[in-house]
Amino acid sequence: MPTQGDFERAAGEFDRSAVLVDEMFLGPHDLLHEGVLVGGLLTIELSLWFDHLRGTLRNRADDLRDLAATCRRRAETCAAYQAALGEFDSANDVYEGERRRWAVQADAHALMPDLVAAPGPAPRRPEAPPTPPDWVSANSH
Amino acid sequence: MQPEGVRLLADRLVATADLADVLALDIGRAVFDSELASSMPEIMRGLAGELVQTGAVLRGRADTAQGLVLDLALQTSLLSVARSVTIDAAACRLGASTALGFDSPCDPVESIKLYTVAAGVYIPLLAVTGLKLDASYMVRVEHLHSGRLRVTRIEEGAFGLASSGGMDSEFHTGKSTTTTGASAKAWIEVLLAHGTTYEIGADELDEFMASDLLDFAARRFTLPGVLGQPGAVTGITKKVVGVVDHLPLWKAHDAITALRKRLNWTRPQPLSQFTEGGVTAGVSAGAGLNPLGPLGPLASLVKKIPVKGKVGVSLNGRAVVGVEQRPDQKTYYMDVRGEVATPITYRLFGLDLSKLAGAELKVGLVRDTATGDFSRIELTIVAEIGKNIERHTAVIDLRDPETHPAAQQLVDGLTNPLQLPDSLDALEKLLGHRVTIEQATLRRMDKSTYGMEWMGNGAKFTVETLDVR
Repeated sequence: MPTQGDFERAAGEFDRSAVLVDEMFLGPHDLLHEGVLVGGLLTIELSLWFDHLRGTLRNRADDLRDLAATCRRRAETCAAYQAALGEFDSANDVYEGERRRWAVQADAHALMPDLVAAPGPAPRRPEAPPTPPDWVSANSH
Repeated sequence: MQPEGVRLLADRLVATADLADVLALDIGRAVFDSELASSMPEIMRGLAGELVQTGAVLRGRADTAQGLVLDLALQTSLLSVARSVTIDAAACRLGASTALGFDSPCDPVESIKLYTVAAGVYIPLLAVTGLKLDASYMVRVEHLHSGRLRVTRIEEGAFGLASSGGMDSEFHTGKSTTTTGASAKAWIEVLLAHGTTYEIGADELDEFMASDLLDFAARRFTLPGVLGQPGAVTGITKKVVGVVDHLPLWKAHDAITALRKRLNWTRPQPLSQFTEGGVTAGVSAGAGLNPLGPLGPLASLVKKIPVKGKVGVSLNGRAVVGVEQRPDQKTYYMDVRGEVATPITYRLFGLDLSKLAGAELKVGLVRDTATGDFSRIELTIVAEIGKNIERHTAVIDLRDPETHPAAQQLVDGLTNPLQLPDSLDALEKLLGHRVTIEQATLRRMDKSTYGMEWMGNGAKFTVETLDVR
């Protein structure tokens, strides 16, 4: 499973590639319009074709930006899950300590009810974070 | 012609191809890292190849100082470059609704042909009351876009009570029906139906039909002695085929060829099977029309033109519950349909003036066989007016976390009649979101019936053609 770091790295790469794809045909396009060919049907034809290709490549660049956005969203989801998991782990550590103390006091109270006070209600286990989507990895990097 | 300029352009295209190659690698790495699906690396590689090709064509043009504008190689090359960066629109939409009704959006049904053999018997017991028995064998052939056929065989039997008054008979000869006498009928029957769906090649329908009818006969009739042994029917068929092939006047070559192929043809595994049971009931009244009355003076002329008619009305309804099984899922469903037909039927020069209106509601609850979880609810509403049939299907995904609580409430309600009002509330909530809706329009193009009926007794063979729009 990709990690938050993988998604962030991929988002950066998709964004950078989108810019390059956008500009990819700028060179030939500008060269033609600078007057390397003057007049004639071939010039008109190539000019039309270059314009068409630039438009199509712009769409492909948008596709890459969409992929980058998906990666960023997933990276955020991974980070949020990681944070929730960290909070859960801390709360769980506290819970385990309280539970052990409670168990000791409950055992002592059972043996010597006159000497040891009743332990009160048992501590409650913290709620685990909701199950993340399949593509979430618990490793942060 | 400016060869130097063309050469410069060619070089620039090759340089752009190098950039596309590098981008293919970079994007491929990002796709690998993110595990997302994207065809962009292949697109970039394809673009690079086409740009190199176009550069070569332009350079060749410059070298030979060719001044032709209509240059096939250049045109082809430019087109290839344009095509390499174009992503075709998805041919089909896949989703939660993929596995129902008109099953595959990737291979939609284009037309449907229904072949039905039906027979009925009415046994009078008291003055106007008696027993009614009906049986039918139907083959539904769906012609898919790919040319393949999805074939569903449905066997149905019904048994019940009927009340009948009057006396009538009908003769069906293709598109024409001749009715004599007048009668009124009412009936209620318990019905049981079983259907199996297969997918076969475009040229395998004859084999399927021959194979299925032979199997049907083998299943339905207890053959005496040696005929009842396994394989006996096949053996006899082989002999019959051999004998009939030698008869010089026998021209039913298609049927014989199909039978012969059937002997070496293996039917594929079924796609799905359903079993359903329920009740059917109806009333009808009708009288044959003679071309008399105002047309009396023209009787002699009328005898020479094809005027056949019937005044009548027919209402019938059907409610069933059933289970449909597929390899990966099971659907529990309830299907209710009603039909009002022919306030008047009159055929003049083959023009059908009959009217027909019907409606059907089907609710299905789909359960995944592997997990045992209910995965979706399918609602289908069909409205039939005249020759047009409108079919709407709504699919509610029960696995969606947003819909899950309401879905669970609905499932609980459906499995416990005391909670039915709650389940209706839940259904309303579910319809508010995450519903996939499909719509199909069918048109009845042709219907031909052959056979006869006399006071509830008779046999008919019907062929019906529907186009899906």
